Amino acid sequence: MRKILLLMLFLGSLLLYTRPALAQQKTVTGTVIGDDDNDPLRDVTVTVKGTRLATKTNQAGFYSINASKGQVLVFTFIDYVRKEVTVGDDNNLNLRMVQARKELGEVVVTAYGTKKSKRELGYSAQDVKGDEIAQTQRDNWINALAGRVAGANITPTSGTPGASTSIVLRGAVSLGGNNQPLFVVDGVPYDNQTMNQENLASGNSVALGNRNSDYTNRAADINPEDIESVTILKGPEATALYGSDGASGAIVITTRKGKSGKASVSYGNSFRMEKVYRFPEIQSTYSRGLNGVYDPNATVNPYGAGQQFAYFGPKYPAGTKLYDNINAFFETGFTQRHNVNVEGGSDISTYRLSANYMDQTGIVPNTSFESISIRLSGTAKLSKKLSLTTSMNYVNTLNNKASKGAGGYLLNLLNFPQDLDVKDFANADGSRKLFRSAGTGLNAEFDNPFWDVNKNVGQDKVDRFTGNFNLNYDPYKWLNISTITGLDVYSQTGTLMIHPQSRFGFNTNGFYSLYQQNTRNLNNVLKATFKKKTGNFSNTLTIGAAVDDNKTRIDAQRGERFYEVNFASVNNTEPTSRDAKTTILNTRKTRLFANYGISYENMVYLSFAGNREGSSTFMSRFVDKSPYFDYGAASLSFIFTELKAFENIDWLNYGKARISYGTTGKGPYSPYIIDYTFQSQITTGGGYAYGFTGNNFNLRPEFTKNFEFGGEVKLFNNRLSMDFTRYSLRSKDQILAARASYGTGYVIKWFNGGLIENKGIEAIMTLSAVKQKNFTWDITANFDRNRGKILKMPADLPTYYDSDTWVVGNLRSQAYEGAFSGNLSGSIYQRNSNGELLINPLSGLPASTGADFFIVGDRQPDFKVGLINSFTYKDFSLSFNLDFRKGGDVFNGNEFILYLTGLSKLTLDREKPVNINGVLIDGLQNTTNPTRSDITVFPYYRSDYFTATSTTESDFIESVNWMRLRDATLTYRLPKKLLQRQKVVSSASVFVTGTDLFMITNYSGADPSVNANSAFARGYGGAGIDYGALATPRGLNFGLKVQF
Amino acid sequence: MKKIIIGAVFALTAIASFTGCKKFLDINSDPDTPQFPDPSSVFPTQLAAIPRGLQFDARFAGRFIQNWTSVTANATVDQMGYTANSDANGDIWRQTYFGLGQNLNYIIDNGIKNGQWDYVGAAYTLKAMMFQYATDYHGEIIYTDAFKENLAFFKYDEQETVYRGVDSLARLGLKYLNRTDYNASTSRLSKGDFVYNGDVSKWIKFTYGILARNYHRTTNKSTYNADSVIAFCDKSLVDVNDDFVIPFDALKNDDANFFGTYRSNLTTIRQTNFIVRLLDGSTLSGTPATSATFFNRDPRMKHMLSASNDTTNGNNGYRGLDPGTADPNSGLANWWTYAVGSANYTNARKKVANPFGDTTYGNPSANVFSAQYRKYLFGDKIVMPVMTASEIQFMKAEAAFRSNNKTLALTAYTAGINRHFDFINRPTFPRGNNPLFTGSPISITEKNDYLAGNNVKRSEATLTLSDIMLQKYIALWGWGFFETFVDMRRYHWTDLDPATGNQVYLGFTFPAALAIDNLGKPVYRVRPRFNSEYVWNRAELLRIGALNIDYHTYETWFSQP
Repeated sequence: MRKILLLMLFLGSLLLYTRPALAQQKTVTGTVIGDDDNDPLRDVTVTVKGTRLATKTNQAGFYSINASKGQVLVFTFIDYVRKEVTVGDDNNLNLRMVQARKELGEVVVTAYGTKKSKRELGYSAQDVKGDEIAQTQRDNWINALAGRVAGANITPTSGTPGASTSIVLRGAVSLGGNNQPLFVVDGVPYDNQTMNQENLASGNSVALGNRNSDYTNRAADINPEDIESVTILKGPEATALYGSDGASGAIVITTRKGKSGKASVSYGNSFRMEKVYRFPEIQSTYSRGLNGVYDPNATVNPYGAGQQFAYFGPKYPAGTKLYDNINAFFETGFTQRHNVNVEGGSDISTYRLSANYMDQTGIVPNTSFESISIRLSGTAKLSKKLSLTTSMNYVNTLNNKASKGAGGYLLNLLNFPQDLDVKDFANADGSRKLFRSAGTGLNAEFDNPFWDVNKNVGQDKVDRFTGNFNLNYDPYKWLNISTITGLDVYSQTGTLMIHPQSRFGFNTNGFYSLYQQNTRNLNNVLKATFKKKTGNFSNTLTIGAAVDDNKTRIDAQRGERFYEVNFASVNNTEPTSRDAKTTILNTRKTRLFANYGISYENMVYLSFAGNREGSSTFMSRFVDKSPYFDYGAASLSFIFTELKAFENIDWLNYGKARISYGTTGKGPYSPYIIDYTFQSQITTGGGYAYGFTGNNFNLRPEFTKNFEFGGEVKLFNNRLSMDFTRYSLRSKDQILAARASYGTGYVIKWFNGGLIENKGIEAIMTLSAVKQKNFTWDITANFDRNRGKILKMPADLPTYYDSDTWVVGNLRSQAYEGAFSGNLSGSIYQRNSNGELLINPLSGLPASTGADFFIVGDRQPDFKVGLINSFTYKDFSLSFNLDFRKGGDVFNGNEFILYLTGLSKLTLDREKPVNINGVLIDGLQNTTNPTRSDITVFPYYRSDYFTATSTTESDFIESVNWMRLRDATLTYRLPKKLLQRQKVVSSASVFVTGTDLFMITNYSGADPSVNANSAFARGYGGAGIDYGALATPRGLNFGLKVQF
Repeated sequence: MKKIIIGAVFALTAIASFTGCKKFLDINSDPDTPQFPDPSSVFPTQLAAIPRGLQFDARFAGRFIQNWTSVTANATVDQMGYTANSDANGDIWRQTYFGLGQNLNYIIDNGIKNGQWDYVGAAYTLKAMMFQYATDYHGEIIYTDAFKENLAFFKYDEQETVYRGVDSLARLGLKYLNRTDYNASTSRLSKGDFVYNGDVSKWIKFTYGILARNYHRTTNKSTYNADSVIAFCDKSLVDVNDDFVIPFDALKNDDANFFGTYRSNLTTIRQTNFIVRLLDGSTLSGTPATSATFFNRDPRMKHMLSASNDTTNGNNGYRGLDPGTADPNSGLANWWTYAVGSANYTNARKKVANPFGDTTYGNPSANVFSAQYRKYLFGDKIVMPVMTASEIQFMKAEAAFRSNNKTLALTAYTAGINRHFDFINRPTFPRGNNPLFTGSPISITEKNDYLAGNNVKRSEATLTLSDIMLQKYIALWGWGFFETFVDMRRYHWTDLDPATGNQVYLGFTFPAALAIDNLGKPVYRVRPRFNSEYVWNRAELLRIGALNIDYHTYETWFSQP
């Protein structure tokens, strides 16, 4: 049905297109746009050369002038290169004008659609063109930013369809809060929530800790084809502009608008095949068993997470048929994407309609992702002084998912016996086939991965509508009043079924969970900008007010004990087992802001910003609390090349120094935590009791101070440009829910406090290496390094950890005073005061510290480099994005669990005796005369050599370097000559894009860039914990783009 | 006109932001869950939270006191040890501060504001109860500093301080429970109390029981006051209808008994030889149980313990395990899978049965609620007792015995046994929970035969402390783990009765090997909860010595002279 609708839409849009009349006329019309931002240029003077005939372009860049064939039109505009064009047969003459003095007009879009000249900015702001993002053909476009933005840390959760992606700019500032930036589309915040599994109605033995299911982060709903440009604001100015929501930076998206002039229709498609090619390696030498004795039913149960097949048996007998189960499981994913744009307009109004359809079948059986996006935007000039821009966007997605993490298909596939055929997952009657001896029960072994993906299915559906309304009023030359109203509404529904015969469904005889999330965010900004020029000084003052009202409601239900084993519905569960849960998150913010900027002769720009923000999350019914807090920023930009001293330096075209300082205030990220935090209980008698997390009547706003300086130079005719930024930010009085002694009356309590520091550098270099008529080569390099450190813990707590990241063994994301913010904690070997290995006297094996956690790694990379090369040769263009990372620890959790089950290749030398040199734990270990132990162990006969108590997580931490080809695109534009033979198609191109084609890394596992949690995870999250998540697949796209 | 409109919009937004702002922002109250519930809505969760603490930790304390033991050999807990770096055995701690503590404070504060005296009194009583459990279990605990806002580190109090605190909390409970000046418009205790249905007189009796426990624990001290204990007992629970038992609805996991088959937490738990010998007559009548001495078998045995299939042991199939030793036959599959008469067949029938029922060796119904698979207190819809009239009588008997009032001691001892028979025979329980007896109740004849038999003393002259303590052990078996743990520590596990020269806990032996960390000493306390204290409050643990590996063997204050 969806496909039919799409087809109708496509056909309909073709009908909309009417060919313009081609009769030759004496009136030449056209649109003039700026080369830099594709915006129409107003007041461009158009003269017919040698005559006095002249006109000016209107606001839409449109002009109309009488001229005959052969005459020359001259286009002049201040700061732009004069352009002369001879009138030909065509009466339509559009052109782009290039700026004479580079940089002067280079603009970025900052808050609420405000365009600022780049030279004004006292802070770093990086731009990425929408085309560049779209051409990577990513199903989650945020992944395309990897390598393209200095200072962006992008971590996809896994390589499956609909996977969420987390993005953190610079460093994780908040230990326990959300560190993801604010997404803004056309001046309106765009909700980027990832479903929080804690809002589901959880069930017995079905753990829901934001780790076994993934939910798309909602910013992925943006159709990349609609993006004109993306500006990344990383510094304090982002907050000064967007308030506390922008405290972790802002991703400001400007969408494409229609251009006036003749209507145009374009169509693009892309077909993608993808294949996962990186897997954890497993040994295929030793069979199931323990202590060297064959036993097909042998299991180990590391950390009590469940019985897994143990591979400590003898070698497979020669001739044993071993199956390639891993490759038997994964499929080639296929995606098709179609995109239609219709745009046009007059000098009064323009419109643009775009429709996008994507249908993806995943590399994991039974997974898919489908999305439809329709966007309509229009601009209208209501009067000389009043103009209006609106857009509406409808998105519909459908995601069929598989589980991940512990008990998910990937780990079960790895653990599945290679001498059995994984495809054989069900008995003749359709029931689950067991591979251990009968009678051990359905919960005594993990699900066959095929069973898992076919029977334990999850699905999410989204219907989303966003709209905005932007009114601009210019009553006087010196005054602009504008208002932007935005609405973002969506409904997300989802289901999860755990089959009654599954490992995790057995105890409850089936588990079914469903939820509906309704989000409605309303946002309004009203601002007035005054401009006044006095002498050499230009003054700009903006005052405004902003109001946000965000509401999310999640209704969740669940049931257990199925009547029909295969029927997925809550109606199929036993009525007494059903539970419901409602979560409503309603927050409001108000903000008054003022910005004052003063500049001197396009050389010195000074700006001040002040904010007074009110956050509903501070309000209480019981105590008198002020919801208000103040913060501000100041910045200075100095274009030193404007000084006389630099005038004669030919090779230096442009130079700028900048410095800024800002503070950021922030309220609690969660509402309802000031007053008592009760939760509904489902124990006998029901009622309410405090939830795990205790309220705190005394919370104060958290503050971050940010200091940033940098500079930018352009050299050699603007062929080389370099931009450098150094920043440091200190965040104090963090608001976080931290574990503490139960003496608080809670398990977790909201606290204020701590001091976190992030320091870093970012550098961007662009080089136009070759610039010839037929051949160009451009290089962009993005470099960044960030160091986050915890200077003081909140409330002086000894430690803080994120339980969602504790997915396997004794390893988790944990904070200590003095530790780095990407810290990993885990077990290490016990040692005595002399540092000698301690040996368990009973087993003769070294002893791990178990659940006593120690610092074992820091996930922050030493540095990252994104290197983008673009070549054009005649009608061919090629670009590729190489992403380098140096250092940064990754926990190879897959290898760890494979080691404990005897599947890791590290266990292969088990027949070699091992001498364990240490001292016995016998009470004398810390004396001057400890009992020495020099035991020889034959691991082959000692499966306990590989158990959790004599293995440590710290041995599976790797410092990872990588070079990965994120994406590469080759485009061939059909020559004009070819197209001139017909009148329908005005331009056409074909392309081939590859994503993640290869990676060179020292990492021993599959893919170090995965996340143990979904993008919901707070704090540093589960990035750098590689456990049970599928590697990013390799993808190949081809498609075409046609413009009519 | 346009200017006016725009100006008006601008002004309106500005006004909304400036003046009406605070009102606009005043939406920080959770619309889906009340943040200011009535005490009547919080009270039921407090009752339901009690078994969470007690039953979770009973998996450990129950093994120290040899109510039961695990089916595998050399489990550290069976050897009176602990699991390091683990929250295991920290649930009383959790319930004292989190599950009940802070919620009870809420009920008390708001109940006082509303004049809901019954809620306030009951909450004080429960608070006293939890602190009593916590200090007896852990020794020094957080008391004075507990729940203080803005604290992240907490000082521990001496047990004596906590004891005095429990005393005053319980008296506050009585003070409020005795008030009668209710505001007619407030909701009364009957609304949230599914144990006593709001019967304040029963709550008063229960509170006196808490006081009796508090006063009775210091038997080894010169300050011990038996008269107070007797006085409190006399005001406490009288008969089984006064018993404080928490029922379960057993409709889903969270409202089912932790000891039941659905939640399947006792699959590796087995009855000990110690309890088998107490009930089969071996210990109390002094005659080994054989088919010839079957008349010494306690009629309560078949209702409390599980028998195995093989009855050739002369004890009707009743078997137990010694702590630290494994059931040699537990690895065998179900007996019917072996050839009749084969060694495996014979041995499989000898496996020690699971607490869920006779001849059940594994959990028979882990995913369905079954009233069929249950035994005594081990079923899905079976109450969890917290205090019984029988317990009160045994306390009174011991106090009377110690104050040399042997007549009263004998009366109370006999009443204690009778109340326990009544407890097993009780036909109905709150919220329709299932009765505890297996099949049919114990007949009057059976009971009278037992009371007239060799296991029971009938004269002041022959009554010993052992009789009282062992009968109390039986009456509290399967639920009163923490009381029994206190009792056995008061007698230092193996103290001798000065009157007889025999061990008070006749027949009790330590596990063959104690856990390594015990350094040769028996358990006397439980380490505070790991993820509460060992991670977040370590400095204080260092001060009290709780970081030492043998901290759990440090004798608690109450049992010291």
